[in-house]
Amino acid sequence: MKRELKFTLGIGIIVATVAFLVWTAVDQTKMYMITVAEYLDVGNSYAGNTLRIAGKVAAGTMKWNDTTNDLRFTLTDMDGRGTIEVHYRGLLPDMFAEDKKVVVEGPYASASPFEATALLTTCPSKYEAKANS
Amino acid sequence: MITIGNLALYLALATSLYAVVASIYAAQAHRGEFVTSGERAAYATWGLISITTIVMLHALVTNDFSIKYVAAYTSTTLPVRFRLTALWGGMEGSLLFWTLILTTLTSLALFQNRCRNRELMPYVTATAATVTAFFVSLLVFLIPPFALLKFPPAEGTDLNPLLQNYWMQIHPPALYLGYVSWTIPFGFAIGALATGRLDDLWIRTSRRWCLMAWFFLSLGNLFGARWAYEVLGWGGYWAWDPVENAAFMPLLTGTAYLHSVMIQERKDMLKVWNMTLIILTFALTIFGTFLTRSGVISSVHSFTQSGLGPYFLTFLAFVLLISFGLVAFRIRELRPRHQLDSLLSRESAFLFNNLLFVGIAFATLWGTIFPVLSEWVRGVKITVGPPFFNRVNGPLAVALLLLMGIGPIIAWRRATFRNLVDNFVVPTALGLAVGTAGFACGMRSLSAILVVSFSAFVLYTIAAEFHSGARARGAMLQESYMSAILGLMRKNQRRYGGYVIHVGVVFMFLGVTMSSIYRTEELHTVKKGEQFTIDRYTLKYMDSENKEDSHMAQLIATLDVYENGKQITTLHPEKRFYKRPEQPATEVDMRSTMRDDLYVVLGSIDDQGVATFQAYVNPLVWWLWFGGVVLVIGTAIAAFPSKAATLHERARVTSTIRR
Repeated sequence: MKRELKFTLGIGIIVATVAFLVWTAVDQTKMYMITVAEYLDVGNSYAGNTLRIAGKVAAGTMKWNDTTNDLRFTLTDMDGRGTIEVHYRGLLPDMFAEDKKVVVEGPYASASPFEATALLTTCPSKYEAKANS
Repeated sequence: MITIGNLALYLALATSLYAVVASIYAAQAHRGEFVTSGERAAYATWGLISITTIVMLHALVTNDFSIKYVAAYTSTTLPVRFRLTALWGGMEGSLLFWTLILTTLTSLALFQNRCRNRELMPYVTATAATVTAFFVSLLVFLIPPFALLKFPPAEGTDLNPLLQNYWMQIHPPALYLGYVSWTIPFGFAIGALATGRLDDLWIRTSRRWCLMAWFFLSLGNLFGARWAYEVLGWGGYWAWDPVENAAFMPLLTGTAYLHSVMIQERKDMLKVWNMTLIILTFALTIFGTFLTRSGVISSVHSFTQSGLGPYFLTFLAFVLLISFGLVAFRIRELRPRHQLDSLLSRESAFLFNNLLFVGIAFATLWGTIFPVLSEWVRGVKITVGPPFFNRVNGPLAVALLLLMGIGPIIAWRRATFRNLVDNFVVPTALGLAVGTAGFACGMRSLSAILVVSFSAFVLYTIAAEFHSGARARGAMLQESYMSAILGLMRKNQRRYGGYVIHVGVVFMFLGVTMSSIYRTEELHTVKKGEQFTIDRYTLKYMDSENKEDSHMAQLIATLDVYENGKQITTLHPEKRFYKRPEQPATEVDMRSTMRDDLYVVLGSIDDQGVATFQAYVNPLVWWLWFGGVVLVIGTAIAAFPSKAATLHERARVTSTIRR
């Protein structure tokens, strides 16, 4: 009896640890995936959180300064319901181009432009490796 | 040709379905002739799928652009070796390739067991043929590989440039072999459940298959990491992308299984657990295929979004239902005859090792499907990135590392105080000493200190195992130390091969931990002739060069690298602009040493020749790849056919036949 209790306790501790780690890590690292329209509508309800905003790079808005590595562009809602100005500093991802779908990641801020800490490019047409942030 | 390919594919669907029906009927009705008939149908499926594959390869090599697949993934300027690898560059081809591997392995397993395990074999045939039939029906009904284009283009779209390198040639085959090989042990498990032969026969028979599956899955993961590191140019090798996780999860449960079967073989315990693990591992391979092809989880690394998702889920549900249904049916017979004796024992070390592996697999699964779960439950799509996985899996993995040291030296059944003192004092002291030394040398990360300390502990225990074994053997057989070590490994391949694998894993732990925690990353914009410094390296931007041919344009920078004022190498990071499809790509250049990797990415060069470089110094990452090499050697030792094992096997077979 005592032995079984010990094992139950040991197993319980591991299971509880895993659950605890998962729970707290989700809480501390979660990012809300929203669209440009959602950002414009209820963006401020995400204050204090990290966001991943999906949209499209509006044609003719991409300004890339290859000396300072500043990238500015307008992110358009996939359904055309609004736009956000985005600023990003870093290397230009290979797959980044105008008219392409892109996800910008960064903390919520009320100021414009949205300061992206990472750009995630996707290429839905084919089996593609990632072009990471 | 295309007609032949299609015909072979349709026939393969018929033969695989027949193999299922005939084998199950044979086993139920005890009709030997139908067992043979089912097996022959499985062999025939293999032949037919081979024909289909040959037709596809022929079309790819000869640029038959009337076939949609060929037009989408090749071009006339694509080198022939990449035209061949385009077989697994897209959805249809990759599933065909998958089926080819599956049917090949099925045939091998059937041939290998043509005189053995006759009772189990019909179910192995039926299981493998069911999986085959599922994949073939996808190819027949949903994604025909030979779909034609009404207006064949003069030129194909070409293979994605990121896929045009040698890792693309070896990574997917290794990964697929790893995935698909689990079908065979799973088949044996189903056979054991269906026939009620629940002793360790099925485990022993499928051990090599498991080892092979585990080996190729490990290699596939490592090759993928290496590919990401060399080709993608973000300085890392693992991003916890859903597709990577998909390949990682079955590796975790599979590793747990390889460990826990040892308990069943020795102690006749954990039978339900082992069944659960093998079923989960197989289910995760199917789940992984689903994940990469359904578009349910947005990955930046995925196949076309297709309508295959629901079919995969249905099949997955079917697999889980049948398998766990059989487990429930046999639950009485699966009850253990023994119990664990003590919390301080090797058995419980194995048990906790298993829990941790499954815990990591669960956390990885949870993080991967979290966006879907959160949308269902709360209506908001929440995603978690690499920080989540590192935060959860980091501590669990460190605990596993510690258990890797404890497992081999703690006594079976019940560890006595004497055992603990004898085996643990020295390695523990060593671990503490190394940890303290790390702290004294300026390490301030708890994870890093724990990992070096535990690594020292594990390496010492393994060295001690070899040493004491060799000394005992040397004294007994009057052998020299070296030949005693070799003799030891020959005599007990599994055990010592396993230890060698552990050494490789420790190296990987060190590489991964140090390169993640102590990585330096800097962005520098410099004019020609200027230099910048990262860590102990000074990089001087010397020149840039433009090249162009029909395939691509290249922009190449030249950087002289200095260390302590001495030039040590010259690096040439590149930016490439592929012409078909039009797409830029980064070519990383790096200098790799045992101590660290200097990894340089060329961002851009402006009109005045001012260039931007992203440079990384990744300490000890070399050990990750070297650990992979050690792992290969260890697996070779563990799995190499040995005379002793063959004799033992022959004796067993003879005794079975006599019976």
